[in-house]
Amino acid sequence: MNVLRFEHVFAFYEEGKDVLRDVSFHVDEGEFIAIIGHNGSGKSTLAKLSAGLLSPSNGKIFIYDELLTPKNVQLLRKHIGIVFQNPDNQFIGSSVEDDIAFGLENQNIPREEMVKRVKEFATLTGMDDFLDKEPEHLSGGQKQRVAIAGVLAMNPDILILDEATAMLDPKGRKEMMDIVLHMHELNPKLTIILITHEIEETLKADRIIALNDGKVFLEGKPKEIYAKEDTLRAIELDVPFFYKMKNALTSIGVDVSDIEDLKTLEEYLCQLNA
Amino acid sequence: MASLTLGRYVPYSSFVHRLDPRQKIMSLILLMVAIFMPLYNFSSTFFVMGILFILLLILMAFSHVSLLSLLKSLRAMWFLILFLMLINVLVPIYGTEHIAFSIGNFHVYWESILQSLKIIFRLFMMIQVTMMLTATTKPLDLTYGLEWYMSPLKIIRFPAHEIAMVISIALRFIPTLLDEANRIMKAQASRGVDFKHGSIKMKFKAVIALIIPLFVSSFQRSEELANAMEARNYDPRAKRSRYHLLRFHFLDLVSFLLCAGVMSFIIYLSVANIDIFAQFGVYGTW
Repeated sequence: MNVLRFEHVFAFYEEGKDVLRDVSFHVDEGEFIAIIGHNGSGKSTLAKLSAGLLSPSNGKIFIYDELLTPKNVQLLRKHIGIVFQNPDNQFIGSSVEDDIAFGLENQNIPREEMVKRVKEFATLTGMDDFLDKEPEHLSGGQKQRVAIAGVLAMNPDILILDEATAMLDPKGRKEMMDIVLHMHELNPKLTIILITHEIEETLKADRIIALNDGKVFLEGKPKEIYAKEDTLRAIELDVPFFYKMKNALTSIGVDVSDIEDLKTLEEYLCQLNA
Repeated sequence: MASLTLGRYVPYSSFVHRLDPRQKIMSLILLMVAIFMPLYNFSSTFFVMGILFILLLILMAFSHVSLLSLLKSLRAMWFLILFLMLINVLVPIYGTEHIAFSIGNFHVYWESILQSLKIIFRLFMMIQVTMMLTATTKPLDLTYGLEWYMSPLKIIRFPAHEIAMVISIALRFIPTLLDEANRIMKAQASRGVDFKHGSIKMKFKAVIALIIPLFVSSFQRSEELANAMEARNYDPRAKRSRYHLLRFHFLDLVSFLLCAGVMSFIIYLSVANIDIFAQFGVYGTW
C-alpha cells in the first residue's frame, strides 16, 4: 500500500507561477525517502501539500489510498507529522513540556497518557532534563529536538522533515539525523520523508527524488542517482563525498561498484595500496 | 524598559508563588474592594489601611517581591500625585474645618491634604496588591486563570480559549521578537542608521528602519507558526484536553478565606460606619 501518492500535482502560490508542475510519485510504508533539490525547486511546497496546508491547483494527493480533500484533511493529517525549518517558529508552547504536549492536547488525549508520552519522547530526544525550560533558554538544535519530540509524540505514520536541519550547526544536525534514524529502527513501519539540501543526510535513504524547477527530475536508489554526477551538477546539486570518490575511482578504471559505505571503501583502497 | 520591569514575574518558590492563579486573581479583586471602601473618618481609614499595608508588606517579603520596585512606582506616579494634591487643595469639597495655612484670603485645609494623601495611599496599595499578583504568577498561569473565569462566557460564543491562546503566544514570542529587534537594530546600524543621535524627527525616521523589517518578519513568523499549529492538528473549536492543571489546594482555600474575611470586615466597618478610635475610648478624631 502507498502511504502517500501524488498524481499529476500542480501547485502555485501566485496565479500563473506554478511552483510544482505535474509531480507524480509514491511512497511505500516504512520507506525512507529523501527529496533533494536546490532552492526554489518546490521541495517545501511538496511538504505543505502532503500535510494539507496547501491544496493543489490540479491533480490528486492520496494518503493511505484516500483522496485528500478539504473535508477529510483534519482526519488524514493525523497520519502526518511535519518538522519545519525554523526552530523558533514552530515552538508553540511556553516551555519544553508544554510544546511537546501541544499536539496531544489537540488530539484530546487524557492527561495521564499525555504526561507519560511527554516524558517518553523527551527522553527519546534527550530533552528530559529541560522539561520546564522556556524556548529562549534553548539552542536551535534543542528547539528542533523538542519539535521532533512533539511531532513523534502524536504517533504519526509519516514523518516529514522539511529542511529541519537547515538552520542548525553540524552538531545539532547530526543529533537530529541520529534521532530520525533511531526512530526508524524502533518503528520500521514509520515512513520518513526527508526534504533537504544537505546532501550527506541522504546517504541512508532507501530512495531519492530529485526535484528541479517544480518537476521530478530523477528518482531512484542513492546508488543510481549519485552515479549521475554530471546530471546532478546541471541542476546545481552536489554529490555526497562517498559517491564522488566512487565515481572518480570508476572513471579511472577501479571497480568499486559492490562497495556500500565509506569505511569499506577506505579499507579497500588501503588494501589496493598495499 | 522601566515600565516593563514594574511587576514582572520573579521566579521563586514561595507559597504565594505556588497558589492557584484563579484564587490569586479573585483575592486581588477582594482586596481591591477592601482598599477602596470608604471608612468613618481619616484616622479610621489610615489606621485600617496601615494595618493592611503592613500585612501586605510582610507577605511581600515572604514572596520575594521587591520593595524597591514598588517604591519606584511612586516615582512613575509623581505627576498624578501632584495633580491630585493640587485639585484637592484648590477645590475643597467637604468637611473643611481645620485650616493648615492661609495665603492671603485663600485657605488650605488639613482635610484637603489628608484627602489627597488618602487617595494616593489607596492607589499605592492598589499597585502593591497588583504587583503581588503579577510578580508571583507566571504570565501564562495568569492567562489560564483568566481563561477559567471567562469560560462561562463560551455559552454566548465568547472565544475564551482563543483569547487565552493568543495571549499565551504573544507572551511566548516577546523574547523572540526582542532578539529580532536587537538584530535588526544592529544590522541597520551597521548600514549607517543612527538610532542614538539627531533630532526627534531623525530618530523617528531611524525607528522606521527598525519597525518595518520587524513587521515583515513578524508576519512571516506568524504564517509559519500557523502552519506548524495546523500541522499539529490544532483546531480551536474542537475539544482539547489540557496538559496544564490548575489545582486548588488547602492553602488556596485558607488564603481565599483570609482575603474574603479581610474584605468582609472592612465592608462591615464601612457600612456600620464605625469610628474605630471611639472603640478604644478616643473620641473626636478627624
